[in-house]
Amino acid sequence: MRILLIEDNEALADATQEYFRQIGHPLDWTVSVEMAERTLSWDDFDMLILDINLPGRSGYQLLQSLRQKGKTIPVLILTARAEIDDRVSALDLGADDYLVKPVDFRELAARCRALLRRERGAASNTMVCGNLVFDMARQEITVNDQPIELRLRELQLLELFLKNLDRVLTKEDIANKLYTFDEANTPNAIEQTLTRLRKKLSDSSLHIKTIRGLGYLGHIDD
Amino acid sequence: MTKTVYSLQQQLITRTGLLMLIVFLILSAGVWDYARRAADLSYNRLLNSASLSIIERISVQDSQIDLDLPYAALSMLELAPDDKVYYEVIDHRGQHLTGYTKTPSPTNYHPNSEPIFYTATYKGEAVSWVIQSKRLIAPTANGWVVIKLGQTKNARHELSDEIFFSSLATLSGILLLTLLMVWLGVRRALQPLSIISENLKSRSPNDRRPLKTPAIREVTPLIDAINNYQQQLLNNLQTMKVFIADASHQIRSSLGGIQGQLDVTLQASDIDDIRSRLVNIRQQHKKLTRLTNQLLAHALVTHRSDSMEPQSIAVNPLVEELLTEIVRDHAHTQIDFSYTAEADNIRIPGDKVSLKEALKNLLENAVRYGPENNQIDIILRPGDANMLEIIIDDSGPGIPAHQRRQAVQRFSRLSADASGSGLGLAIVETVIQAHQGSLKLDRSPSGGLRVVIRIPGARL
Repeated sequence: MRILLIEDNEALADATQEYFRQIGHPLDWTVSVEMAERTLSWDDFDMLILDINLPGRSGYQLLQSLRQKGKTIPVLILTARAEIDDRVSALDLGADDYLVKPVDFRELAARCRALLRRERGAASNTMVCGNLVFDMARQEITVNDQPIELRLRELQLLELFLKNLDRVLTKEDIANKLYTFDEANTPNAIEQTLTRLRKKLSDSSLHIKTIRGLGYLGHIDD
Repeated sequence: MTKTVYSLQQQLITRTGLLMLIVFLILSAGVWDYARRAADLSYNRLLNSASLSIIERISVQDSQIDLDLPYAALSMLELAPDDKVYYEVIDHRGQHLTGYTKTPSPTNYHPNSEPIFYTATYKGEAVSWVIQSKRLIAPTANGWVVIKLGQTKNARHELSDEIFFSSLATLSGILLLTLLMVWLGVRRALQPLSIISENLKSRSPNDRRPLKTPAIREVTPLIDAINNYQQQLLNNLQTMKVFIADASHQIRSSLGGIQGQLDVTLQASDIDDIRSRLVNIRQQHKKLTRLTNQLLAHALVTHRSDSMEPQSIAVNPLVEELLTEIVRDHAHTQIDFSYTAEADNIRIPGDKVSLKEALKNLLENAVRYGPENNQIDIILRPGDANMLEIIIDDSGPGIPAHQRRQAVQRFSRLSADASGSGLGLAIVETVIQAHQGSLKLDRSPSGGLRVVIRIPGARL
C-alpha cells in the first residue's frame, strides 16, 4: 500500500511521514503539483493525500487533471481553508474525502484506511476492518484472528453494514436488502438480528450505532 | 478610476447634438422644398399673367389671326432682368404663327383654356414654361390658338435660395440656442454629483456624521444610500474592533500558556516529566486549535449573515446529514442519539452553510458537556405561526436558569475548567439572528440542557 503526500508545509509533512512510518504505512512526499505529476508518471500509488494551497498549481488543478484522465485513485483533500463551501467543490471535483487542517493524525490515518478499504474491498474478496476480517468468498469472519460463527441473516446484515460504512441505513433499507417481499420481516426481527450481531462482534472494531428515528450507522474505529 | 470612464455630460451633449443635426437635416430638406415651390408659384403667376395678356390680344380680322403683342406684358417679366424670355404662338391649324420656333410642349397636350406649367430644356437651358390656349370662333378661323411662354430660371433660383438660406439661418440659431440650453441643463443637473464627490473627498475616514443632504429630491436617495452604506460599514467596523480585542486576548493567552509550558519543558530533564508536560502542551494546543476554528467559523457566519441572499433550505436532509457526521465521529462512544422529525420536507429560507455550522455547534456542545452515556435528542417540529422549532436535548448537567443569558455571550465560559472556546453559542446566536429566529435555553426532560431554536418558515 503506497500513499503519496503532496504538502508544501515541511513541518507538517515531516510529522505526517513520521506518524505514518510509526503505524507501519510509510508514505512518499512531494511539495508541489509539478513534482507530484512527475512522481505519479513513473510510480504507482494506492492513494493521494493532497493539500490545496500549494506553490504553483493548486491541488484542485491536480485533482481535476487526474479525474479528466480517468484516474480513479482515491484522493483525500487537506486544506487550511475554513470555508465549508470548499467541501462541496472538492467533492464535486472528484475528491473522495476531505479534512480541514489542523488534522488529528489518528483521524487522518483512519480516513485513509477507510478509503483504502473501500478501494480494496471492491478489488479483492477480503475486507479488513481493523481487527475484523471478512472473507466474502468463503463467508467467514474473524475478529483478532478468532473465527466468529454467524447465522446467515447476521452475515448478510454484517456485509450490508461493511459495504455502507459511515452511512445511515434505514430499517427499510435493511429490510429491502435482507428479506424477500413475501418473507415476514417485522422491524423487531431486524432489531433482534442486530442485537445478536452486536453481541458476537462486541470485541471488534465495528460499531453499529442506532440513531432512533433515523436508522443505523456502521463505523470502523481502528 | 476604471478604464472605461466616460463623461455623462459629454455623452448627453453629443447625443443631443447628433439628434439636433438630424432634425436640422430633415428640416433643411423641408425648407428647401418649400423655398422651391414658393419661388415657382410666384414666378408662374407672373408667367401666367403675361400669357393671359398675350392671349387676350389674339383676335380674328379678315380671316387672319391678328396678334398685337403687348410689350407691357413682356415687361412684366423684366422683373427678372437676368432671365431670357421665349414665346411662340401656334394658330388653329397648328402652324407656327409668331415668336420662337420649335418650343417644347408638354406631352399629350390637349388645348385648354387653363394654363399648364412645365419645365423643359430649350436652347440648352432649363426653362419654365406656361402653355395656354384660346378657342377662336369665327367662320374663317375656328379652333384653338396655343401660346407658349417660357422664362429661364435664374430669378426663381435666386428667390428660392434666398428663402432657403434665411430660413436656414433662423433654424440654426434656434438649434444652437437649444443646444446651449441642453448644455446648461446637463451641467446644472450633474452639479449635485460633483458637490457630493467634493464632500466625500474632503471627509476624514474617522468622520462618523452622515452626509448632508442637498435640498434636491432626486439626489436624496443617493445620499441616503451612501449614508446607509457608511452606517453599515461603521457598525461592522465596531463589531470587528470588539471582536478583534476579544479574540486577541483569547489567542494571546492560549499562546502564552503553550509557550510557558514549552519553556518549562525545555528546562526539564526527567523523561516522564517531559512526557507529561508534552501531554499538557498538546491539550493546550488542541484548545487553541478549537478556538481558532471557532473564531474562523464565527467570522464566516457573521460575514455570511451580512452578505448572503437567503435560499430555500430543506431542513430534514440537512439535519440528517449533520447527525450522520456527528454519529460517525462519536461511533466509538456510548452516546445515544435520536431524531424525531414531526414533518417531512420542512423548508425555511436562509443560509445552509451557516445553519449547519450553528446546529453542529449545538450538537458538539451537547457531546462536549454531557456524560459518557449521554442521550442527545433532536426534534424538528413545525410550530405555530409558521415557525419551525429545532429542539436539541441532552442529558448533561444543563445550565442553571440564572446563567443562561451569560452562556450566549461571546467568550463567556460558565466554568473555568471547561474546554470550550466560548464562541459556540455566540456563533449559534449570530446565525439564528440572521435567520430572524430566536434561541432559548431551557431544561430538558432528562434534566440536561434543552436548546430551542425557532426560525420563521416563510419568506418575510
